[in-house]
Formats: sequence, C-alpha cells, structure tokens
Amino acid sequence: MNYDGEPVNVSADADRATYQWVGLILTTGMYASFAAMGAGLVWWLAVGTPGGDTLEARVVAIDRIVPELMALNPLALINLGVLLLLATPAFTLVAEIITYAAARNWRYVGIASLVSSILLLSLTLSMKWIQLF
Amino acid sequence: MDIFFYIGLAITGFMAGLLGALLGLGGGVFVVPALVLIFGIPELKAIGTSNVAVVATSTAGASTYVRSRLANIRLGLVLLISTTLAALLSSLVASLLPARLLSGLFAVVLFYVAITMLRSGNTKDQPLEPMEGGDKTSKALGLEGTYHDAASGQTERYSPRNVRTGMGISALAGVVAGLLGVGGGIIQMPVMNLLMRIPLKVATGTSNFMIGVTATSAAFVRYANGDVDPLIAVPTALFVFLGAKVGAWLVPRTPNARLKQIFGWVAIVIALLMITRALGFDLVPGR
Repeated sequence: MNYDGEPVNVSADADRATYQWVGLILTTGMYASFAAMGAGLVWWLAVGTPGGDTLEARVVAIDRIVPELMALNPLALINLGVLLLLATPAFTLVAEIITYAAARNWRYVGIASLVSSILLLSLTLSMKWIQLF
Repeated sequence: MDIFFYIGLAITGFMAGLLGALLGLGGGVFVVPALVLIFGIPELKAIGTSNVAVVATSTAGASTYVRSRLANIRLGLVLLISTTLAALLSSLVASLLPARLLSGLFAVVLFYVAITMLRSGNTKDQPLEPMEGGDKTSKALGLEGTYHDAASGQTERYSPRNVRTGMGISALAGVVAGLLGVGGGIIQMPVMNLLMRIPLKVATGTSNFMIGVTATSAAFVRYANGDVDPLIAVPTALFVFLGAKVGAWLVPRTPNARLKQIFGWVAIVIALLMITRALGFDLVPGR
C-alpha cells in the first residue's frame, strides 16, 4: 500500500474533527481487539484449552462476557476481542454523528444516523431481541 | 481440534491475507474456499469467519487511509446507506439458502475475480482523465475533494459523478458481503473508479473505510446464528491481518501484472473446485 503524498481532501478539511476521531477510534479499536483476541488465545492455550469441545461453550453470549471474565474464562476474553473488533466500525459512526452535529452539518448527522440505525438493527438481531426468521 | 488444525488455519489465514494484499483484494475471496475445501468447515461458518477477518483487515487499512485523508468519509457514508442494508438483508437470507448453493454462488464470484485479474494482468493501467464538474447530487452533498498524486506531483481535484446510480450498484457489494463473506471491494472499486470517476487512490481508501462497516452489519447476524466460531475466526483473522501486512510490504517489490495472470488461473481452479462441491462432490469430510 502506498500512502505517500500529502493529500488535501476538500471535504476532509471541512470535516477535520471527524477525520481525527474516526482515525483515533479505528486505531484504538484495532489494537484493543487484537490484544484481547491474542491474549485470550494464548491464555486459553496456556491453561489447557478448557471448554473448547463444543461450539456452545466456545461462543460466549454478549450478556455473559463480563460474568465469564470474572470467572476467569479465557474464551470470554477471545469473544470480547471479536466483539470489540465488530464494534469498532460502529463506534466510528457514533463519532461521525457527534462531530457532524458539533459542526452543525445536519445532513451528515442524518446520513450517519441512518447507517447507524441499520447497524443497530443488525446488533438487535444478534442479541435476539427480535427474531425475523 | 488439534494443534495441526490451528497451524493449518494460521497458514491459510496468512496466505489469504498475503494474496489478497498482493492482488488488491480482501482476504475473504481466498479464506472461504480454503476453509470449505481444505478444512471441511460448513459454508456458513466459513462465511462468518471470513466476515470477522474482513473487518480486521479493513479496520487496519482504514485507520491508515483515514489518517492520511485518502478516504472520503462523506462519500463512504452516502454509499453505505445501500451497502449496509443490502449486507444485513442478504446475511439473513444466507441462513435460509442451501450450503451447496452458497458454494455455487461463490464460484460465480471467483470466476468474476479471475476474469478481472486476467484482464488487468494483460493491460496496463490507464489513468483516468482529471475529473471535474460532478453531478448535482455530488455538489448538493458536498462530495468534492482534492488529493495529491505523488507520482505526478500534481494536486488533482475530483467530483464524483453518477452518485445515485453508484448508490444502487453499491448495494451489490453489500449483497456479496452478506451472502458470501467477502469484503465487496471487488464490486465497490470499479463502481467508484469507473462509474463515479473517483481517482483510484481515493476509491481504495474510501472502499477500505466502507468494507469494515458493511462486513460488521453482516457479521453481527452471523455471530447471532452461531456461525462465528471464535476459535476458528480469531486465529484466521489475526493471520489474515499479518499476511495482509506482509503483502502490502511486498506489493512494490512484486511484478503485479504477472502475479495477477497466475492467480487469475488459480482463482479459476478454486472456482471449479467450489462448483464440484456445489454439485455434491466433497473433497474432505465436513466438520
């Protein structure tokens, strides 16, 4: 990948705060999720791969992650890493809504909110709060 | 699952990420067939795993593109309206489709990738003319931008064209992401570069930014359906990411056109193997 050059995107100049926050969230989310996934995997291997035999044991539901972490279940840390990774793009949308609102750019507050609501629907389905099929 | 299974996953993830970066694709195009054909992992679980790997690589890529302002966030948001909705709906539909049909659909995507690689390997990249005077929608939404082209030393201005049509066709990228677990860049890039007349570097940056959000929309649904097995997805995603990093480093040191020719034919072979699976002939027993 070649990122050289000094780009001066017109909309990027107008949306300076948005770019700063989105960049920060993507970088932080990437490192935090990779750290949790990597550490969880090493921890799980180090303690003799407990609970890895069935898919039900390997997938820790979102609402069970904190209690399972308190119970020192390494699979909970691995699942937390996956969820942190999946949540990172969603967090960038929240940052876009806030920074566009601060800049009074209501059109993009609306567009970012619309995309966020689609992701929220996806998350809602994943939490099984509603069931379509 | 034994240690050799995990070593195999790590090698597969690394190679998928490496090839994806070298060929300008996401790793998902190679992850799904490898998991299905080599490891006998069911299609939906392979797609869920690929969704996670795609989010990992695109998050890493997007962080760089956003910081260097090569991603146009406004344009990405506008196109994401149709892609995320399409990804969500198609990921729900994927659960209802027979696994063998998914293999067949994946073969179709691989043939498309193969033809794209073979054609681009045969021809030199033709830079598009400088683009100004975008359409009304583009102006109304403030999508215009400029970027510095290091190769020419010029600052180029661009204004996206055919924004509404681009939004419509971008939905296809969401369908591919939701249904088959690939990033959708194979559709998004030509839409932005050729149809909307966005410079390649900006299209690449914006596509990277979009792919993470699109794949997330599908990945949550796959996670809910139990199709994301963390012990398969995590090692694969971590090594796809590592492979993509090494691939990115190798890009300027590799004869790109020749590589695309070779892997164009490799993609055809993989597509044929996926078709044999779609027709009911399994090379390895399922897990």
